[in-house]
Amino acid sequence: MAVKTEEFYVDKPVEDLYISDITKQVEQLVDNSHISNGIVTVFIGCSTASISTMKHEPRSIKEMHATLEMLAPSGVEYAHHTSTGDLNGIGNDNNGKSHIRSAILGPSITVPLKDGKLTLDKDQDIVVLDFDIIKRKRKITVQIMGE
Amino acid sequence: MNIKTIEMEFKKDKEGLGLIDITRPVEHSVIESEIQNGLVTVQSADPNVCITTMEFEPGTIKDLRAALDRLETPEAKVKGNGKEEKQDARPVLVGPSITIPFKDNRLVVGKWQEIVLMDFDGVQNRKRVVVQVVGE
Repeated sequence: MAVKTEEFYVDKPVEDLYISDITKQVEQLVDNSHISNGIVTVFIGCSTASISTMKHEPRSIKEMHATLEMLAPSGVEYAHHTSTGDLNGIGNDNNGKSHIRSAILGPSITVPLKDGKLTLDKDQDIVVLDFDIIKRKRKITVQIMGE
Repeated sequence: MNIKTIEMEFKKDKEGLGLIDITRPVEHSVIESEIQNGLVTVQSADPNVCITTMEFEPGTIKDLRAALDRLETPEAKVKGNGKEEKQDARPVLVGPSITIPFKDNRLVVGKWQEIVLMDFDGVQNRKRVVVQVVGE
């Protein structure tokens, strides 16, 4: 069995919720790994973004925006905004909603790999949901385990 | 390939909001396993407990708990009777497990990202968590 752990970066070019389709990048790393059967884990090492799968097209994205607003609305005072615990040094702590959304959706997914292909439906894209309220660059870890 | 499965127990957080930072014990499991590269799965073995990652600071703890408590139904407010667990959909939303890759025996978690157990007032006083380290 082999384990390959790779990483790449994704830009978040806007100051609010941004959903990027990273399916191609993940598939490329899987191809390069020469592992055909196993599991692929996609992980983001932060507390204001999540990894999931969804259809990456305008209507689903709009729906996601609306649902996340219900879960943790914008324009609300969160305890995180005044908490002394936030020492992230980015100079921005008005992202209480981003932390809630990220904790609920989770930092990673695992997808089985069969005969060199991820077992995803054609309408299922791997996405980074970036909930932060500033522009940033995010590191994504992809681990391919198998044979 | 090596697989190590470790069972842990955490004492119910009676005073606080039910969130417990379990990053150190999980990291310790990876170090003890001596497996260099692989994947760690952290799973709750309690129906009213979920596992996630977050910045574990008092403000965020309060905010997350409040957001999930807004989704609590009247049925979920009924406490378990000591024999039966109560019915609560909140832990299902967050989910029972997470998986985190590690490289050179170190978890790839971010600086502001802790592994957290979140208890929705289950009846058990001890929260059972299973940590499985897989790799080579």
